[in-house]
Amino acid sequence: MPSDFLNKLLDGPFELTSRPEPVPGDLRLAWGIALVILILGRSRGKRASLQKLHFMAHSARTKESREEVRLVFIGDRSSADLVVRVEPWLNRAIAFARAANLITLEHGRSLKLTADGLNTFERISSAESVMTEERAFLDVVSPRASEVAVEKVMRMERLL
Amino acid sequence: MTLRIRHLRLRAETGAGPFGADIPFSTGLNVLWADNTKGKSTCLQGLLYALGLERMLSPRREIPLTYVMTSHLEEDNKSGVRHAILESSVSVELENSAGKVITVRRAVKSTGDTRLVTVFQGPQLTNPAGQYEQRDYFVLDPGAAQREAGFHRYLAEFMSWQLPRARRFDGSETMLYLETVFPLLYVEQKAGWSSMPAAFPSFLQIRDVGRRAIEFLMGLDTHELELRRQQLDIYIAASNSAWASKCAEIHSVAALANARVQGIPSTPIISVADIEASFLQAPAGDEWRPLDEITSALRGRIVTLRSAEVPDVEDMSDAAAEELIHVMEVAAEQNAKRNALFRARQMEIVQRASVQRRIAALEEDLQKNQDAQKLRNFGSKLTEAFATDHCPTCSQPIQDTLLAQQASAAVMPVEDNIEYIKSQRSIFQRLSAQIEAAIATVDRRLAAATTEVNETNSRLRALRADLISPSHSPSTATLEERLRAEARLETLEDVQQRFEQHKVMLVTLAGRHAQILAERQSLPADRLSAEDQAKLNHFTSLIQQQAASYGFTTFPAEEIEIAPDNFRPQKEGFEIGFELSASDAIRLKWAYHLALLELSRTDTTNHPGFVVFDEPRQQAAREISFQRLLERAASAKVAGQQVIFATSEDRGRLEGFLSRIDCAYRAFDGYIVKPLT
Repeated sequence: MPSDFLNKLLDGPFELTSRPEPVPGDLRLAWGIALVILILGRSRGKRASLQKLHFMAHSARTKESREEVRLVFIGDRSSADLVVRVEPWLNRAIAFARAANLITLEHGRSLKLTADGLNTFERISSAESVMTEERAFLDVVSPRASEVAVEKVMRMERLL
Repeated sequence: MTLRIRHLRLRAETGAGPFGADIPFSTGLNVLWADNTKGKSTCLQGLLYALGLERMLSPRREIPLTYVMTSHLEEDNKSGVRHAILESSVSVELENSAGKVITVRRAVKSTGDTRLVTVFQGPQLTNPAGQYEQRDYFVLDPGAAQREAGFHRYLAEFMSWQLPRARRFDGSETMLYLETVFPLLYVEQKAGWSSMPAAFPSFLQIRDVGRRAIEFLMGLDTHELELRRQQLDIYIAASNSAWASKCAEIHSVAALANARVQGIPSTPIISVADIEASFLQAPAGDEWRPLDEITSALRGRIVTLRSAEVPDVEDMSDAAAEELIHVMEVAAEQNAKRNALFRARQMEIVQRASVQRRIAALEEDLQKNQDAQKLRNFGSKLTEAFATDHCPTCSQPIQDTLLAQQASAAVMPVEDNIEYIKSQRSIFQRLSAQIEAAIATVDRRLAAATTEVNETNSRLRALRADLISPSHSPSTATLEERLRAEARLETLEDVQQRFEQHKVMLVTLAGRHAQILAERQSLPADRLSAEDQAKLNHFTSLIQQQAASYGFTTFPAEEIEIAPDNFRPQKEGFEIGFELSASDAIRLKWAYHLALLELSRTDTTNHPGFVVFDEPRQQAAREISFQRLLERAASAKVAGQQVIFATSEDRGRLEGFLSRIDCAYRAFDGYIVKPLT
């Protein structure tokens, strides 16, 4: 039973403001776009297919996925064990990066860093404490994750 | 603490005979005049070279002297004729505050090793007739500043300089090298004038090199304070860890009696009374009781048991049978309790694992949010595009999220989000600490319960043995109880005794800790002590006075301040930099170096009492009249100090105003280095 006091309080116009929602760090614009740039920057010719981008972004995102993918590429685990998700946030990050003229779409197939993008890539790569885990992962895995290798993983074929 | 330059000599042997220059210097202002490119800078740099300080100009180990000393010479009135240099050297005569004179000679071009410096113990240049002991020292090689045979060590001793220790970028310790202090005494023609307060060499990898050099030259206490503070911090850390390891020892001693420690925190406390009041607690049934209470109860029980005679089995078989039933019930109860404790422990462990998973996830998210924040403030294209929260294509506001833009009402700003995650993390960390404590408590109760169960079981065995043994044998159950009580008492007393011993040691530790804390407290809170601050104020006012009298125009001279943290000139807390006109930069530079010199007249500093200015080669210098600057510098004579200034200013004008100034003036017609006849 509400008290008189409460009734009085409620007896008038009032409004509720929703608290801003916390957002996981990896769903922040800057983080997602930076990851796209890092992946492209560590890819051959500074370009990669959408499929590879999705694969690498999904892999680099969490500690567990980084470890699993690393094991697959050194041959300790089968590519059939990997679950790769195609995530909408990545498409958005790509769209924003393109709009900001950091990447371009080549022949409708592969994405490539622009001069600005390359510049940004170098800035991030030389920064001391930004995305260190993700960069360490890309340092190890990128040289092995060619388009062909990623294609094989996606088809659950043997890598080695 | 002073060093006076008495004489400089350059010598070069050529196919056309010997060439050379001799420049005597006196106390007070010395002005050298020669036209451009006639060898002024060569002479002054020769001074640095003779002292093995050339790396102050450039870390490369090349001789900083021009071709005049290294390859070929030209003569006045004979243009195009070049004489190749066969051998050359620079010598300089120095005098220290004790009146001792030495002569330093170093070869420039020679078949020998140019890293050697010869020191003559006397005025070899001004009184060549004397016979002076000579010894070779080395420069440039590692150790030149510290080893016995190193010239810089010798020179520092000659100047009575005790160079302080300094920290390198990699954390290792080194000393403040002479090369880092001399830029404050020698203003070189190019880089010297364009950096404020001086171009300090960075190749020595010394942290805050400029600040340290100025602190040393001004004789500030900060350095000592800083070192002491660091030292005390190390002591405090050591004291903390000594305390922590003593605590760990105490806990393991307590564990022998399944006891827990009350009143001793894991970080040092200072109050002796608090340490004395600490005690051990052991589980007794369902509650915790002080160990000494338990011990004294046990002692009483033993006395009772000892005084009673040991009965025969026959006399007590009925009682034993009855007790057996009772003890069996007790055993069942105790087992049930122990199982309950065990289950509680398992639950806590599961809880702990889940909290730890949660903390790990929070930490990962925190890292990502922090990355996102850093990236936003990156100052790149990335920032341009996304820190503004507007779509780069349509310029409509966008939310800082990669979720669908319409999906959430309002996105928490990344800074708030970081705080939000941090606060969550700290809640879970506290929870985790609570769980750890709970597990530790349960562990002790479990251990106590296990002991109880074991005791009950052996009582059961003793009672059973009594019931089946011959009727005249003594009762095992009674004996067993007595022995068990005695053994337990021994353990408890031992634990109690060791605990008391440790307490005594804790008191000692606390005493030492209190001393360290007291000293730490007594250090001044500010980086600068009161005397240092007074010195700095004096220094600032010397600079302001000069700037005003030199016609400093960029802003009012009294607004010039000296930053207490890096000793750079600043205005309203902002470093003075590019906004200065080129001529004001030169005025300020001059004022700064002279102020350092003048400060040593009234305050105790490490300044050696000389400054060398090689006139700036920039066009800007043309706009300034050096008259005022030189008038001020001439005051050095009264104080027994030296200012050496090399210039190629319009000779007529220079001589015009020098005639009114008390100074030693030397003008060179044509090349300074001339054939010796």
